[in-house]
Amino acid sequence: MQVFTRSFKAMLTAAALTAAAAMPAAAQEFPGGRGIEFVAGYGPGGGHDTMLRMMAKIIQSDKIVDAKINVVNKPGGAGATSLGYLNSHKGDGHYLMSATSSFITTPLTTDVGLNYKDFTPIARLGIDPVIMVVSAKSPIQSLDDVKNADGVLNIAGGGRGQIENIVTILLGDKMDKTFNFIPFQGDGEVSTAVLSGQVDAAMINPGAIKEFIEAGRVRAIAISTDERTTMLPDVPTFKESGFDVVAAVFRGVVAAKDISEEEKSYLSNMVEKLQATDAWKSQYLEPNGIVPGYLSPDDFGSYLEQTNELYRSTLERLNLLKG
Amino acid sequence: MLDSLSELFSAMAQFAAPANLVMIFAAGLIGTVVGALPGLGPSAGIALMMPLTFGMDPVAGLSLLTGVYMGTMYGGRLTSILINTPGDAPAIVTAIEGYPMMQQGKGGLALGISAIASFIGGLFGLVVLVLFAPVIAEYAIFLGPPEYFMLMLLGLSMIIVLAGSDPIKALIATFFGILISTIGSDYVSGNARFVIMPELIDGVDFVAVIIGLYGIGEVLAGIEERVRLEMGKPRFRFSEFVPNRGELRQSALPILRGSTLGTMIGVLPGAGATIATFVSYITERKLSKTPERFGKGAIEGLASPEAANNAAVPGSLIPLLALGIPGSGGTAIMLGALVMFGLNPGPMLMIQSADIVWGTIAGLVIANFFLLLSNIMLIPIFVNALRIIQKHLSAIVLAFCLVGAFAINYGLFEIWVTAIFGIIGYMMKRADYPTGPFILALVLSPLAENYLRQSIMLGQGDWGIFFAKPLTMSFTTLVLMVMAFGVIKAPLMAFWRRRRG
Amino acid sequence: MEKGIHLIFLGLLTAFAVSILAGSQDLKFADEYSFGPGFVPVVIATLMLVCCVIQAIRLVRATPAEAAEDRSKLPPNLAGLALAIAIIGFGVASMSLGSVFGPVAAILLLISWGVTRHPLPISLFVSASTTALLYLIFSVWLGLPIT
Repeated sequence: MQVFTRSFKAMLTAAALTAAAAMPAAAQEFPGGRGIEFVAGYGPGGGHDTMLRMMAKIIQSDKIVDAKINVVNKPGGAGATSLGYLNSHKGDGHYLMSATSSFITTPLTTDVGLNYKDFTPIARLGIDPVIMVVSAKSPIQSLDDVKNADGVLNIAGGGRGQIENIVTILLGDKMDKTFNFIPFQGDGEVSTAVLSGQVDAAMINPGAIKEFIEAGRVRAIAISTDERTTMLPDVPTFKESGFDVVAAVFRGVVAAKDISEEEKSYLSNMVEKLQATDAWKSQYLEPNGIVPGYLSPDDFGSYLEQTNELYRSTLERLNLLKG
Repeated sequence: MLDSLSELFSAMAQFAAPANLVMIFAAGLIGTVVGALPGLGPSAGIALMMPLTFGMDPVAGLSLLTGVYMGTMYGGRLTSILINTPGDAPAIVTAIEGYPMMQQGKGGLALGISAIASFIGGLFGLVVLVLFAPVIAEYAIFLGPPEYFMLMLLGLSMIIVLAGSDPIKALIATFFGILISTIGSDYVSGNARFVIMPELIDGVDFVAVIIGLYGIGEVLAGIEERVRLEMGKPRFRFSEFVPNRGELRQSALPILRGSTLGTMIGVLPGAGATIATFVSYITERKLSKTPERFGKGAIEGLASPEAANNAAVPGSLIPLLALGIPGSGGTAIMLGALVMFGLNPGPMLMIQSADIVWGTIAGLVIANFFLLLSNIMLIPIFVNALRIIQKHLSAIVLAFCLVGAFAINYGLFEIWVTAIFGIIGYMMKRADYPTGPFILALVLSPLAENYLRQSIMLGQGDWGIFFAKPLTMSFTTLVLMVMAFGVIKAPLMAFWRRRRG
Repeated sequence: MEKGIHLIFLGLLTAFAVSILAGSQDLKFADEYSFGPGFVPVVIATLMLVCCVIQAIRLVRATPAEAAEDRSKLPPNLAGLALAIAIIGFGVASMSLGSVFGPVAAILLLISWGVTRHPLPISLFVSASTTALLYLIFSVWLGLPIT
């Protein structure tokens, strides 16, 4: 079983480490013999860990760079531990950290002493939009039916203040209507709630509900991307239906603050080449239901600024900003 | 039903790899040793093993934990019979008949019969588990937050049963558990509650708490009490363990009765293995034509409770796996393990994660066979292992707890949590506060709080949601009736007794 | 002795309940449709305070005769207990230097030799073999990153 292959892998890594240590430091240029450390802010098996390990695997199998890559987990505090860890290596380009919505929200809701500006954006690799679904038995067919529905609709989604909540609030603003947002824990509970008809609609990650849409058990109403996705080409966007709601969770990578230009371009070139490979599309994006959306370091930087503002204003409305 | 069996066999086939078999075998052995050590019972056994499961997939991890759980039931009887010191609560009754048999030179027979009784009891409970758990789960898809809240309430009401003698102490332990569980981010409100440092965003780690409470807490109590067991050097021949035909006939019916009672009592939430052993012992004494032999080495009085305590393990897994209700401290920890593996406890478990549930049950079936073998063949090894480990128990358990706590998050924070709860555990033990209600509240109260809030939000502020649908209403009525009965039972019984007396 | 520990325990719980109450001040008691995040902590902490006070009063009033049972046991090894807690505390604190197995081996040795009073060679052996076993289980078999 997995356990045993894992320990075998550990032994291989150990062997590789010894071999690397035995070699003289040949080149002095970046990254040198140290290789690059990929930092996951959550434990093994989580979303961050999976992404980084897949990146490391493809970088090595497609020989994108020669440097040795080591994935380490710094879990704890909804990403806060890893923020602190990366910040302690300020000016050192040997570290690349995964960043998702918690990279923005954790500093906003708790006192970490750091925020997105304390890191160097490297790339956005993809986005997780939100899809609005109703039970197949529901009378709601389109966003207009949502707008014209009587009373307050119950809408299920992830935790309060998270992306599903933000999309619900933005949609409510555009429709001039209030929704009753009910937080559930995880996509599994959200899909159960909408499948069994306990709620009128749900906001959920497309990857988690895709098979139920294809099986005809739930009906997709709209998706929160700018344009229709290749994953679900029949699902209209909120925007084309006349309610301009575009919001998504991102998956990206950042490096420590104050790294040299040389280090920054090394890392961004590596990631840019990686995300263009077929292996990345077929082994990571597609199986995980992620919408491609690569952004270069500068674009990712301004995207982070916008996203931070979106979260900040919503969390302020919900009164969830820190003290 | 055939579905169940085919699921079970395909799950068993997955276990055929030698490495997995070795792991289950080892889990049984560890459980046996932990069960035999006084002070360390099923809860401690499962708690200490939990860090080992971090790197494993859910089936292997849960099989390890259930294997240890089952093993403790086999182990408790060893020290009961050999030195009249029950290794854990369910083995108290075993000492009543087992130790006299030992004194009469029939120790080998006592160990043999009790191992066979344990095996049959465990197997019987497993058969019931395989047949019934899926039936309950079939209706799961129709349940929502209101029904789940009622189930969690039912689970929490089991605190009344686990309370022990002093209700105020049980209440304090419960409230303490609830308050600890509120620390961390709350997805329903979006607030981070009582997060005085970033490490607390994810809450106080459950595994760190139980390792501290049951591991370090027991170590500190052991150091303060200076417990030492004097194990002799019992020598048995292999033939002594094998009962003859007459002895088998004598114990056949008691084993069957014990198995049935154990499973039934195990299923009842709140009543666990310990109660099952007492009930089955009393039953045997009442049924016996020669009750005067009891207490002097009656084989029926040994066989029946041993079957009952092992049958209670799979029995207690029925409400846990099918409904998400833990009936005891041990199963409350198992529930925490399910959450740790990212599984949602509750009726959906059998549907969403059927492979994991069946894998775990298959692991338990295999563990039971291994345990029978090892408990007949390896008794001398156990006795020697106990003698050595017992002297160094505190140091070894302590090291295990610390490394285990580090493995939770690869950070020092969890070790400190474990150390603090070790001291709390020691104080709770000294001041005689029950840990069962604390653990139950810690695991169930956040679920109950969230389901209640979701229910009221679904009703848009209207509490009538609990009576809105016929299904919800029947759930609510049933749970309220059970709880009302629990509250008035004691006064009612007292009233009847006074009327009669 | 039991009574002293019991009182310390109640004191700690009271302090905990009070700090939870203080921390709940900025959490909403009621929310739009349902009760807010502050509801459960405030209610439960208040109830716990009440119970702790009742229990403390009962404890202080209890007759000392109750405590005077069972003198046959050895006197409690409070010195050993305090030493053990100190060893654990220092050991865990020294883990911040980077190693886990090192301090664990030292804790094992000190507890075994200093608290449970085994001869030094035996303690050394227990410490070394247990640490080796833990290393084998966690680092080699399970492949967890523990040093």
